[in-house]
Amino acid sequence: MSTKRWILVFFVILLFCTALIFLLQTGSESQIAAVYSDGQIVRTVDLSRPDAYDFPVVTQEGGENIIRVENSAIFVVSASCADKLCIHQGPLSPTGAPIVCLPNRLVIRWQSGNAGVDAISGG
Amino acid sequence: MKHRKLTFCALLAAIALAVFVIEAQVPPLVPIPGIKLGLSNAVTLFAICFLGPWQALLIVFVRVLLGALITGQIAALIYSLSGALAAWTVCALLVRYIPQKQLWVVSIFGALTHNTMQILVAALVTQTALIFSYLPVLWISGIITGTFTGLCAQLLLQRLRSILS
Repeated sequence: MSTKRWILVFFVILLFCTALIFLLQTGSESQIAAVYSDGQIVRTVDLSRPDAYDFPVVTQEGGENIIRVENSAIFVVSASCADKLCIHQGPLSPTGAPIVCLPNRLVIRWQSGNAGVDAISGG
Repeated sequence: MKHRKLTFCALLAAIALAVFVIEAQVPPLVPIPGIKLGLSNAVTLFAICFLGPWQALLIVFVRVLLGALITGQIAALIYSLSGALAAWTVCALLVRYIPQKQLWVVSIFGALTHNTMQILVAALVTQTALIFSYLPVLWISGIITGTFTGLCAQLLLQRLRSILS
């Protein structure tokens, strides 16, 4: 295949991906953030409440992330991982993209559906 | 392996490792996991073409394993190793069908494979399908970085071949 054809192919893929980024942004109606460690939900936080507090999430190997809830926002303030990307990801945004700390297998996301009150929430 | 090939292979492994460690010192441009230049992949690609796929595989192992030890990012090993091995497989296969002057195309496919594999592993490890929402951004990054590293490898091969012949 000619070089020009390849350039076209990748350009189309680029456009497609750009479109996907916007399409995939779901405004989430939920005000409840769910914190997962190793795929298991460890905490749910109701962000409509005005509480402010910190809580740690630890992994089996001793990895730790300290999560802060403040001003109806949830974000990571301290992490034991090497890259600290989770801290720089900032507060959980309404567009739906989760906060992830891959080395510590931590995910913070909006709670989907009606998971109910079967998890710990609040302070 | 002949002595010359072995020595050159070891040299490339050292270069790949050095490039990897240096690149790891640079703070990430964007706080999205997996977005990096991946310059050491240019070395892998160069090795596939200049030495052969199996020598390149050795270089990949050296770079990933020692790189994880040196940078202290051992937790990232599963992501790093799976991504690099998948990328190596794709590149080693594609170079048979895509001419060397379009090596950058092979590199892009390698980069896309690397990123996709890492996301796959991340989704499995965190049990979160939502992680796939990072895929479009990573693909955009993969196309750009893949082109750059591919061109590096391509140009290096062209210059080196003309010097050595």
